[in-house]
Amino acid sequence: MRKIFCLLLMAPLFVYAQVNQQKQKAMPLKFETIVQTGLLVGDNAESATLQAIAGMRHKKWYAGVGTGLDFYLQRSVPLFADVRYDFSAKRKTFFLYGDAGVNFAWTKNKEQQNIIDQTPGLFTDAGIGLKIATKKQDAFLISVGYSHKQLEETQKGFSWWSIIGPGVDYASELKYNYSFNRIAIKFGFVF
Amino acid sequence: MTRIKPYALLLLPILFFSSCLKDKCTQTYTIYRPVYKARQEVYADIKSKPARAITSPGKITLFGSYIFLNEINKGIHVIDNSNPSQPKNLSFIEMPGNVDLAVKGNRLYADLYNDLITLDITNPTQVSVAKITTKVFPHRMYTSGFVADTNLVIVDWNTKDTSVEIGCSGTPMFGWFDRSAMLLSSFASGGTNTATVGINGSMARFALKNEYLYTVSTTDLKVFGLQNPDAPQQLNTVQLGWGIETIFPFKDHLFIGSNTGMFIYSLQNPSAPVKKGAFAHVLACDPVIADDTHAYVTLRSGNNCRAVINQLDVLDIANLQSPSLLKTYQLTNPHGLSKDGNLLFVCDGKDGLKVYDASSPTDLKLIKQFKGFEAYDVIAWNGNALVVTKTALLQFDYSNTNNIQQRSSIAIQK
Repeated sequence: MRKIFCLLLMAPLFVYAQVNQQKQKAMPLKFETIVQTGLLVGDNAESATLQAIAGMRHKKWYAGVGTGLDFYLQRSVPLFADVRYDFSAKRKTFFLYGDAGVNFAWTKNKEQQNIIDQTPGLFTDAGIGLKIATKKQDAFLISVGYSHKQLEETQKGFSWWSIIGPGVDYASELKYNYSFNRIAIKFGFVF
Repeated sequence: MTRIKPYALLLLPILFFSSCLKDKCTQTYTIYRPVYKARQEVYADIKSKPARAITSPGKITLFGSYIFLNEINKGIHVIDNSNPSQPKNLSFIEMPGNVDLAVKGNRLYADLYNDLITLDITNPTQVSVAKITTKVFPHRMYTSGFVADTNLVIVDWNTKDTSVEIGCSGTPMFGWFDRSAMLLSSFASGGTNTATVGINGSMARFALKNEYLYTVSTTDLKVFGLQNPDAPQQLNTVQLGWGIETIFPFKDHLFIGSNTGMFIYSLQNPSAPVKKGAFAHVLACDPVIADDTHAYVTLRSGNNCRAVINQLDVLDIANLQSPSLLKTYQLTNPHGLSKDGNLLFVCDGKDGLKVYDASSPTDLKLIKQFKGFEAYDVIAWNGNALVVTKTALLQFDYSNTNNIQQRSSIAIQK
C-alpha cells in the first residue's frame, strides 16, 4: 500500500520533470490543476465535497493525482489517480473521468465513539462532464458521476467494567465495514 | 432542442445508478452464550487449586506478603509477594462471577455474582468457605441480559462471531452484550495500611473500615457489619444516585467517585454513612483518593466514560462539607492512582505510570515516568508500587525516590 502512495505522490513530480525536459521541444504536454467542489447525494446523507487534482494533459487525455475531503457519515480524505478524456478539442466539450484510489478516514472524537482502529478502503469515482474553456485557456467544469468509498473500523464494545473496573478494558471488539455510494455532482475550474 | 440533448448526457449516471445509492454497513460482533453449572456444585468448588495463568486481571488486594488478584468472573489468584522482585503465583481460588474482593485479618470477602462469600485464608494456599451470604447484591443478578437462575450459575461463555447488516445513518455505538457487560459491581477497600486489612487499588468498590465492609453498586452503598467476621450482616443501604464507580475510605470518611462528581460520606455512625460534602465535575470516569488535606481525582475519557477530558483534579478538602478545586493537570488517559507520603502515582493509560512529587499539591512535579505499557491501577505502599497493566502485573521499587525502578513483572496471557 505504501508503495502505491509513494507512486501516486511522486507521479506528478515525475511527469513535471519530464515536461520540463521536453518543454523546449514540442510542448505536447501541459500541466493543469483542477479544483472542484460539489454535492454528494445518496440514500442516507448528503454532503459537500472538495477536491484538488494536479496532472498533465496530452491532447484529449489528462492524467493526474488528486485528494479531497468528503463530509458525509464517516468524514474521509480520498487520495486518488485521475484520468480524463475530452471528446473533442472544441471550446465546449463533454468529457469522461475516472478516479481510483484509497479512502482515508478522518474522524472527529474517535475516542468518544470508542473507535480504536480504522483501515483505509477503496475510493472510486467515475462520470461524465461538460468542459467550457475560457479565452485564457482556463476552463469551467460541471460533472455528474458515481462515487463509491469503503472503510473498515473497529470499536470497543460496551463494557460496564470500563466504568467500574480497575481500568483494564475487557470489552470485546466490534468490527464495522462501511460501503458508501453517492451521486457526485461537481463544479470545477481548470487552470 | 437539439442543443439540450447532448447536455442530457449528464443525467445518464443518475439514471444508471439511482438504484445503487444505498449504503451498506455491516457489524461483526461476538455472541456470548452462557455455560451453566449447578449452584451447589459451584459453592463446593470454591477452594484452592493449582496456580493458573493470569489472563483477565481485575481488582487487586495487597495483604501482607500476599497479593490477591481477581481474574474477572473466574476467581482469585493468590501470589506470594514476600520477595517483590520475584513474586510467585501460588494458587487459584475458583469463584465464578467474582469481580471484587477485600481482606481483613484471616478473612477474605468476595462476591460471586449476587452472593457474598467469606473465605478463611488463614493458610492462603488452602482456603475454605466460612460463609455464603446469598442474594445481597441484587444488581448482579443480571448478567449480559441473562437473569441468574436460583439453582444455576454462569461459569463460562461460548462465543460465536456474527455479522449483520446495520443502518448507516449513524455510527452504531454499542453492539450486543459481551462478557464484560456482566460486571455490574465490585468491592473496594483502600486508604488504610494497617497490617490486618488488605490494601485495595483506587478503582475498588469494596471498602473495609474497622468492623464494617462497605460496598458500592452503580447506585447505592451497602453496609455490612463484620462484628462476627464469619457472618457479615447487611445493616444498611444508602442510595447514592447513578454512575457510582469507586469507594475510598480515609479516616472517618468514605470518598466515593461517580460519573458526575466526588461524594464524601461521614462514618461518624459507621452503620449509617451520611453525606457530608460533594464536588461536582463534568461527566467522566473518576477514581478518587484522599489524604488529610487534599483529594486527587482523575477524570478520563474513553469507553463509555462519555467525556472528552483527561485530567487530574486536586481538591482542597480542609472543609469536607465544601471541597473546592485547587488545580487541574492535563493528562493522557488517567485511571487509577495512589499516594504514599509525598509521592503520587498516576496510571495514565498508554502513557504508562507517572510518579509525581506531591509535596506541593498545587505544583506537582513529574519525577519519573515509565512507558511501554498501559497502566490502569496502582497500589503504592511501603516503597513498593504494584501496577496493573494491560500486559503484566508490574512492581516498582520506590524506596529511593531518586532511583525508582521496575523490580518484577508477571506477564498476562491473552
